[in-house]
Amino acid sequence: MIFHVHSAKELFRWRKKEKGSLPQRGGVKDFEPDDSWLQAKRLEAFYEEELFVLGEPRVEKSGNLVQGSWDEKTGLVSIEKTAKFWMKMGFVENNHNWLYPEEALFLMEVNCLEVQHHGLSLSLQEAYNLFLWPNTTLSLEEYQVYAHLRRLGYVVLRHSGKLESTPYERKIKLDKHCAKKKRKHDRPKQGLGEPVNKHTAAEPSDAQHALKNNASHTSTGFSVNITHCRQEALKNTLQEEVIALDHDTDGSRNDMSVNCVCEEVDSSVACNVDSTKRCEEVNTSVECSVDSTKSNHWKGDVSSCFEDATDRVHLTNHQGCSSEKITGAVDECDEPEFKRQKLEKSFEHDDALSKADNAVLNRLSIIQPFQESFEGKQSNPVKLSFDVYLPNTTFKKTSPGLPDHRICVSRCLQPPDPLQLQSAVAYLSDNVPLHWAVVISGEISFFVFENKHCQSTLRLLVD
Amino acid sequence: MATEACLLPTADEQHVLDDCGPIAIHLRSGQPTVWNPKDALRLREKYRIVGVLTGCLPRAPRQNVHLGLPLQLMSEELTLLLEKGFAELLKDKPVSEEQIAKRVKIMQALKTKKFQEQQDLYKQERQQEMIRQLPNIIEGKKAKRQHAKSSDDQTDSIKEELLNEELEVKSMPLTPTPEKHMLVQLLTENPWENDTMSVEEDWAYPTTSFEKLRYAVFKDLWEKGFYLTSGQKFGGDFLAYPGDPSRFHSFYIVICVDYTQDLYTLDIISMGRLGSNVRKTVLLSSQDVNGQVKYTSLQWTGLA
Repeated sequence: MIFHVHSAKELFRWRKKEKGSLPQRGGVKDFEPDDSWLQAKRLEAFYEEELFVLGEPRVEKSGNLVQGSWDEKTGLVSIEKTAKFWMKMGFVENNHNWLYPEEALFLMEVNCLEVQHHGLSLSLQEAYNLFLWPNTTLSLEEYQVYAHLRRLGYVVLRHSGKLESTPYERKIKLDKHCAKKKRKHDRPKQGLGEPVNKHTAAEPSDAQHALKNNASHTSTGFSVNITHCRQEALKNTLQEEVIALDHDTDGSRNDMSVNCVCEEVDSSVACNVDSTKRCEEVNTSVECSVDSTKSNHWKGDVSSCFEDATDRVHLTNHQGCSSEKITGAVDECDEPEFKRQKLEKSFEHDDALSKADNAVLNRLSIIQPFQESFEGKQSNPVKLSFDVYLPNTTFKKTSPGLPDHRICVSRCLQPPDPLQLQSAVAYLSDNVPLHWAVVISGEISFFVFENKHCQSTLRLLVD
Repeated sequence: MATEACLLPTADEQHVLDDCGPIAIHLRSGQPTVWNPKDALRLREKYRIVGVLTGCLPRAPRQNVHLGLPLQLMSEELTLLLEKGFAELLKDKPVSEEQIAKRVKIMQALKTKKFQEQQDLYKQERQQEMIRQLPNIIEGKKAKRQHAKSSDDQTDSIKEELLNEELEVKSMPLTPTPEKHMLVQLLTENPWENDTMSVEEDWAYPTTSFEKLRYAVFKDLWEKGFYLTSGQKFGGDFLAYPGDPSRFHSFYIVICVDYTQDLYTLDIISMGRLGSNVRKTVLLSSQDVNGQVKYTSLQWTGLA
């Protein structure tokens, strides 16, 4: 015998349900129960309505439903035909359309998808069992965060790792061009389930492991492409050096002070990108300092480079607040050793070194231990689950560009190490806010870590 | 194979099944969930266990204001329910291939039966619609024929024809409704009986000393008649409500601390400040050496 299945007549009744209307919450709450008739009546009405609303069946015309089937080996759902949702979810592989388990579950919840398993259509209850950990790497908390964001209307994709393109390339839309090439070229070689999931931190199954290898091949091809395009686009005498530098510093780039640097670079070097700019600028400015013997020099040229350094100095003065210390520490991620050495060099040749400047140097060496702790951390230490995009008409899941938010899901009260979160931000180096979603027994809260710079102190030191 | 008659339970059977016996709780990815709407409401009405709705609401799935099943429970809530014998923790049993084959047959039979019934229902609906629209149809036909046969003098026979047609509505041939218009139910609950087995021994909470403290406090307050929910919103362990949370505001923000733990003065200030700002009382709860739960309430007071 089977239960909870409605007869044809009942289905017909539910066909014209009041879609979209939410039950009333019952108005202003009372202070405490007083055993009055009115309170009892209100409560009864609430229970009745709640029972009715929760018990409503999900009824849909079969023509509006996409049919899918659960693939146990890959932990994915393959679907026969696609629908409107295909703009924002799923991927094609081996001539099949695939959905990730979280996408399939959500589509089932919003009456878009019917999933078959062993020839039987799955109920939501069974699907929750089948699609989630331990059967797949997707945890219930991750799904809840995914569904929460999808219900709000965001486009949510699995975290795709660091973007290969630089801010400048994105600005002139070079990245879209490269991505297109990549899709066309690499499609037959691409691994299953990995086009948007290259850096997933989940434990890989055998199949997924193989796929990852494939995906890493893909990424190599991609960066070569970029280099090629850039060569065409830049036509700069420095280009080769730039590219080499870019590759070297790829892992440890930090965008936090990129903007201010960009503004100061003149047009001739404007084509050079990102950290490369800063490397060069540091180089030139350091040379200037060495040539001259006036301390004024570094103020003009190097000031932008040392903006964060001076901030750090300021912050270490207020060691009471741990978050400020973190801010200082994270700034260190970006080739700090290099800068510091150059800085010291420039000062060695400087007679008019004030006491304040000495203090700067001392402070810089004080925070050295932080620097050490970040060395060698090229990869991402925390698991980032999702990239979140604002919905817009030009969105393309194959080249989604820079996400608007990133989400790291945490199950319990134990926070992820803030230093790790910050180093993840530094590693990704694109100013996308990283949200920490805490899910405690079904309730979701979002937190975000941000760096704040104190510009006023900088001015004091420079003057 | 089951006959069609016993494919669906009667209303009485369903009623009996839903309204008695322990509440069925299923572990999903390690978290306790409730899938039956009546069970979810029974928990609240009868046992003062609130839980959190986490799924999409069928009638309005794309919003976060009012969510639907499954209802997710806190670990403390499940432990309490199991301890009191109000609920049972179930796990899906692996299903044999024979059973699957049988179920596929049942489902197919049900599907064809439902589609046939729906054909009739669609037909009835269309006939009713036609009867309702009859004046318009006649008007339309009249106009059409007069336009086509304006040269001929057959106006008398037109009226007769129309009368005949009016009578024939019920026997008019209707093309069958295509399958894409057939209604399908996307099941929320697992429909198969005998599909689960009890796995209470799998549930191990509380284990750590802090979890034990949390559970002791939860149980004590629950036994005092409060409704308890997670205190995450206000930075506490629980929120204690004097009645159903849908109708009343919470009285207390319950914060569990170890009995002998030193408290930082600034923490106490922030707790007191929070409590006064949200018009709740902060309740510091701990267990003394005898295992008795002790409460200390904080009151924010200023000397003017």
